[in-house]
Amino acid sequence: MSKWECTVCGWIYDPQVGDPSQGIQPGTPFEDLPDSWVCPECGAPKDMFEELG
Amino acid sequence: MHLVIVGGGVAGMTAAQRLRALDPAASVTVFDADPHPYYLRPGLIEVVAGLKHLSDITPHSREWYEEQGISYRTATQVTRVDVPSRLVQLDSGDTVAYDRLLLSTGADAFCPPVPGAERYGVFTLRSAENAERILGATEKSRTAVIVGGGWLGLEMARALAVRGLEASVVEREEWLLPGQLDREGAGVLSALLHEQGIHVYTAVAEVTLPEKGLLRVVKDSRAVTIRAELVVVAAGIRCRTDLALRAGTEARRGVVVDDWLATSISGIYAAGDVAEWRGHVYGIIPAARDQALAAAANMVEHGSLRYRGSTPLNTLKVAGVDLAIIGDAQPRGGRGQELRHIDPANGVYRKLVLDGHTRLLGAVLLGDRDGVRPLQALARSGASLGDRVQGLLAGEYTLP
Ligand SMILES: Cc1cc2nc3c(=O)[nH]c(=O)nc-3n(C[C@H](O)[C@H](O)[C@H](O)COP(=O)(O)OP(=O)(O)OC[C@H]3O[C@@H](n4cnc5c(N)ncnc54)[C@H](O)[C@@H]3O)c2cc1C
Ligand SMILES: [Zn+2]
Repeated sequence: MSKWECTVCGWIYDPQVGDPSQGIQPGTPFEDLPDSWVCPECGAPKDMFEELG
Repeated sequence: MHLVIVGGGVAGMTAAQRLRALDPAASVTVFDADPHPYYLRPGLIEVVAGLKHLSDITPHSREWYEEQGISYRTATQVTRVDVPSRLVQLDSGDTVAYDRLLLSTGADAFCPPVPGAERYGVFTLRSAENAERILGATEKSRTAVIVGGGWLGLEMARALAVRGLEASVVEREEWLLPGQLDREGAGVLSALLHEQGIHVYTAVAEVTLPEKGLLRVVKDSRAVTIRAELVVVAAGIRCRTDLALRAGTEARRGVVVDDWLATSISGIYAAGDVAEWRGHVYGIIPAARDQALAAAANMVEHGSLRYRGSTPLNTLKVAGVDLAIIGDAQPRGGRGQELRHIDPANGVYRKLVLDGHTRLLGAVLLGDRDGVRPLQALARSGASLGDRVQGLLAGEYTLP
């Protein structure tokens, strides 16, 4: 599972950690995040993230 | 049911989308004075740095909101709330009726009086228009001074340094980020900034603009003059409470809300940077979002969702450097025992705060991203660190 970076603020989504602030369980791949999910630091929606190599 | 939102920043837009989902039958309208459709404010730093355009930080077009069933009126200021008739008045003179109203008018940049500013001009950064004006001014300037050494001031300094300006930061307190960092940590941060070509002046008692292009500071009773063709003030925020105050709601620093984000006037709610909850004005996006979600729920069904506060951001990037504050990091000392690892050559500063039983109470990590999760877990677990202390202080996080 790859990590994804927010292009606006640089926050990194790590699937191993998930995003407890929005009820996302550890182990959730980026692709499975709901459309309503946003960057917890800056509010950017999913399509403003880029996959890290 | 007409749900009206004044201010389409992150709080207003989060609430609009939640209201839309909670009550498909209601109509949802957002008014915003800004002519540009909703953009991500943190990205304005990159706009100032010349690395991004406004379009890069604008997630959706105006039409997208309309497609979501949100009526979105940009370049429209709400000038008055008529509480007895439940109407808002627009700058065009039109009035619009509401059943529930959300005030999410955000905050302005706070600009303390700087003698000479009225003559030579200073900039602040809050809106896209501000960012474009600063960007324009960078084309005619080679030197810049940022008044205010908080995280926004430091980010500004980096952005202007990236634009090729010689940037300086002046701060009234004795060291940078005094709310987060102690003196030693701030020293390492200053050294990192210095490497990026950013000058730091702390413990500055007085700032004036004596003539065009110059800024004069008094430090340790000595006056220093700094070249400053561009002056940006980054001294915190001031809640935009005027509309709420004129409507008659209770306001102190911000518009006072209860645990349901309700103001003192029935049917009117507030969320985001404008709101003051139990004495807190958070001024950060995660809190604006949490409040907006709770406000939306209560606008549809009052009492349905209680707001319990937000956790302040504990990791941030200042001028490209990772900084994490974990637990009780006691920036100005305290009961806990403090252990420090100071490594300016590698740009690392690590401080652990322990109780008498080597339990981790808090930590500060500068330039050390890997330590954030393990130390957070250790602080939360409350376990005794025993003989791991020295290893952790040296940045050895994996158990042998
Ligand atoms: C450069 C910069 C970088 C930042 N970076 C971060 C970060 O990295 N992380 C973080 O958590 N926070 C950051 N912040 C703070 C963050 O932007 C705010 O906490 C957040 O924007 C608050 O959202 P809000 O919706 O309450 O208010 P705002 O975003 O200020 O939105 C309020 C809106 O209301 C409109 N408005 C006001 N009055 C009226 C009226 N009478 N009629 C119509 N419209 C009106 C305004 O035009 C504005 O669009 C940053 C701020 C700035 C300026
Ligand atoms: Zn982000």
